[in-house]
Amino acid sequence: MPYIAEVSRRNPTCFVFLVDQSGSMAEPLAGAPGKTKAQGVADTINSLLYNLVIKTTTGTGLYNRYYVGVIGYGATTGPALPAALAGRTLIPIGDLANNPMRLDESRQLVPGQNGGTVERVVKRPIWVEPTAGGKTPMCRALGLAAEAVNGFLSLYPGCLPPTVFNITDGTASDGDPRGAATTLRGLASSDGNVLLFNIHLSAVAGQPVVYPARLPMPCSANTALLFEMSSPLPPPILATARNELPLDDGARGFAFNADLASFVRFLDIGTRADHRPRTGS
Amino acid sequence: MNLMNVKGCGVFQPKDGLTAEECEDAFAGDATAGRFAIADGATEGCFSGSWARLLVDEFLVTPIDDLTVGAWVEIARKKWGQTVDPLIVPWYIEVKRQTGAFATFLGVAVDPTGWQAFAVGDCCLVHLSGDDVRRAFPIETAVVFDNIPDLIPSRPDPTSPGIATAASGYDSGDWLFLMTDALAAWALKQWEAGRPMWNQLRTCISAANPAEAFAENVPGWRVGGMRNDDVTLLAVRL
Repeated sequence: MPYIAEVSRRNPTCFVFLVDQSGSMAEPLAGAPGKTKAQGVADTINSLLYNLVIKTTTGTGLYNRYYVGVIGYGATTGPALPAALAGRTLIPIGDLANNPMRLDESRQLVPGQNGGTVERVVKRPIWVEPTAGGKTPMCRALGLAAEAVNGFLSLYPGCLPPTVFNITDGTASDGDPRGAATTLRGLASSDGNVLLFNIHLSAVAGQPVVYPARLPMPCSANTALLFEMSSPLPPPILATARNELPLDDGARGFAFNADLASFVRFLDIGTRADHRPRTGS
Repeated sequence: MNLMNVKGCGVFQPKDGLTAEECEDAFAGDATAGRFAIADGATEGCFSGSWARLLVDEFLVTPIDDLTVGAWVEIARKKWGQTVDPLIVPWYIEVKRQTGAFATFLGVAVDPTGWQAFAVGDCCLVHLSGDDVRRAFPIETAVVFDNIPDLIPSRPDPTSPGIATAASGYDSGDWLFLMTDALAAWALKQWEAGRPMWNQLRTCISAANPAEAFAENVPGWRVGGMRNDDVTLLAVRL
């Protein structure tokens, strides 16, 4: 049964986020007044990276069980992580943790020991800033992801298959992305094929769609294309997701107008539904 | 208290792929006092190894009447905070430190008439008379191990799980095996399948170099199906 490889420092897995940074990402994000799509995506990716780091923090350090890439596509296309991490598409999680662009601080009230509350300074690392400009070279971004993932697979041929998230609101400006998507999904470790999940953002509020086996009709040609490009959920992920959602057989890694954090909560990337610590992970 | 014949020996092996220093299991024993304890720090916690260590060390020196109310946990909590809170650490360690560390725990207090055990989570005690299992506690069958056990938090927590207790008499020559979860699950599974490995464990413990004997056996058990995890065995001959 595929998609069961243990994730460890010796056998890490990787996550690649492809982020549409084209001009249209400056438009408002549906369901989030005052926020642009670019801001919404940056917030969510920063939050996901934070969760990944925290999940791999153990003892007094960090285990490099994950490699992470963020590739922006818009006016420029390429790695979109801070300057200290420049030049590399996939970054070990420890390097990511130690090199945020900055640490934002806020004050929060948390429960104290004697029933009261105490103020605590909370630090939130920022790795990705909102960016919007230029066209939508999605094919190029998928190609960069394939290059990076292919290199990773040659180093870790038995890894839990890499997962690529493509977050976009638009139509590829550099051709039909299905070919590049097929190439990417065709890459594989001994544990299964690379997963490509697509998250389609909209400026128009609508019913969120998560992990559909079929698309609600009518839908735009672009939505249909992204759905077609998306990997079916492997059985272990499908089984986990079904604990909370009534998913059909054939459910795909696709979301429309959905909150990215809720979309990934079934995936083993730091946002487990069950947050209880485990022994021996 | 006359416990002259009671002897204890502990061995551990880190999860395959980790170093001994990264092992977050802890064990401690004092045969004279009749106290033995193991703890398994949760990997996703922070400073869990030192939390596990404090739990077993404090258990050994806590008066018997205070054990049932978990007095050793409170003392360990205080010491843990005093140890880790002043440390200057990166932001991600700070986040985890605020949440605290977590560990499963099993402690046994032996006196000339019997033993009392105190457990949170899935560290497991097996009491053997010869090859007969007189008691398995707090988990009795291999199917109950689910990888999401109850844990003792290092930060005060009103939802902290209660301490399970058990007691029994024993005969001279009986064995108590205190095992962390992966080994306990494997040993119970083998026993249930009619292939008890108690003798293998006793042989390891009785070897001239028990740590070496245990280290030689663990890879084979993992190949056979034992989950890859830190494994600790604290064996007590009564």
